[in-house]
Amino acid sequence: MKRMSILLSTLMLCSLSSVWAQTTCPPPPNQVSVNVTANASLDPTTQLYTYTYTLASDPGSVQDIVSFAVAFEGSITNISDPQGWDHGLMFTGSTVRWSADVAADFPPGVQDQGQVPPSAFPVKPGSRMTGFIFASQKPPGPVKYFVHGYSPVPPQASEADAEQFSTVCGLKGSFLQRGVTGSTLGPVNFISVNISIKPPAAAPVPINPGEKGVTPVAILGSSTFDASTVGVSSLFLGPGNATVLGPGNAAVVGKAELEDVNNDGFPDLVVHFPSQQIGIQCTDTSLLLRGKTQAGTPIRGSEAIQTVNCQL
Amino acid sequence: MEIDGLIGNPTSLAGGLLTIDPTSSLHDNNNIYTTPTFSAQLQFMATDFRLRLIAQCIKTSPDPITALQCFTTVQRPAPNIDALSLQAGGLFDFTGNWGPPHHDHRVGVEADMRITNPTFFIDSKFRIMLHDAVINALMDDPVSGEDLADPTSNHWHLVSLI
Repeated sequence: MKRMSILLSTLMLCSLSSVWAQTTCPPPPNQVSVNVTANASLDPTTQLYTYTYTLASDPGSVQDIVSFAVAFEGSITNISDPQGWDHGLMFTGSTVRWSADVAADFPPGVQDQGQVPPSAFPVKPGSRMTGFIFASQKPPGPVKYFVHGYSPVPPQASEADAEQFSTVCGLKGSFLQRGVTGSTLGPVNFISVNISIKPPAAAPVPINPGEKGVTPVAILGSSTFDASTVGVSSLFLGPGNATVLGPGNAAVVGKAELEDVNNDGFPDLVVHFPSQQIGIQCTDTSLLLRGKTQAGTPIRGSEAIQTVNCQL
Repeated sequence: MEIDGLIGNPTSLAGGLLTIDPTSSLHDNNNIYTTPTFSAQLQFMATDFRLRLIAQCIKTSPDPITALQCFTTVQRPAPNIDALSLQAGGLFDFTGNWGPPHHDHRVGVEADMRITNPTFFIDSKFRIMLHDAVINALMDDPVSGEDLADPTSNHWHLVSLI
């Protein structure tokens, strides 16, 4: 009986200590529904693009937005902030991050124990904020954005608790990845596009370097790339820099046209190149397509090929 | 277990924007070591924080002359680190299972930064900027903690993400 009593007491103590050890984690900083819009305008004199971003927080957002970051390629200058926000480049140097870093008072009843205070100028649910601005020589293309809601991290009672809290609550890991991410317009070296040579042939596409005639290539549209924006006359294919045959050329069946060659629901741009000008060598294993969008942003795409009827 | 390649950090880094206190009551006063990358991250954080202080000074200046003076008048606060790693790492692994506390201190990628210590108190209006500098330097979202009964002992545990 005495032994049973000790066992029960021990079980109760273990149960209690496990309750005490339970950690209440703050919600991840992704409890926001946000619409990010970007505007890119080119100054013809300086050849600098000015990028301006606007955040619109949905009324259903749970958290205030206190951080907004955009990835970019190349370098940026002339960074401007909305009122009450400041900016900084991240350690990697390829992401600019704005944050609402003018502090507000802690809410009533919350003691200052070293935690991060709330911001005085957040983007509240149902409101919008613009003025996130920078300039770049690089043209616009798809880049990632990162938005964070305010989710205060409570102080812990000991060093061990702090380490455990960090691990259990998922604070160990990229701050950027724990928020809301998406795609917007930003500075890019070029837009990477998917292409299909001789659609619907699968890669590696068999190609005879000596063949005559025309080679059709489809630039594939997607949720992030509108194939109709391609500047057809800017396209070059292969080491021979073949240019697109015009619709007036008798060798072309049809012309540059939009059709969904891969049945994914997104229109693809189909163009035709003179096969002899592509300059394929028997050792080639892929073909590169270069060009620009109508707005001037470079695009690149390639697909694997397999040369046939070659005499090496 | 020993960690190769840790470097010793001086008591003043990034031109005095970051200070390091090597004294310890637990071991020899030589817990000044980090990986080279983490040392660079700490200096990046201190520089980012300093730039924010200057930017806020400029934004709140009543005129351009006063704004220009921000580059020289903004001196404090400078963050202070009071625990890094030993020369060969390890040592804190007394339990032999690499469990907490001080797990990351053993491999040169964790620092304790004073936040509420009376000597190095970082006011909350500066702390929000320091937090952004920490995040921009690619460290974990810091957790404050040490002893809730003595809030002045609380500090942030900075851990590298790299």
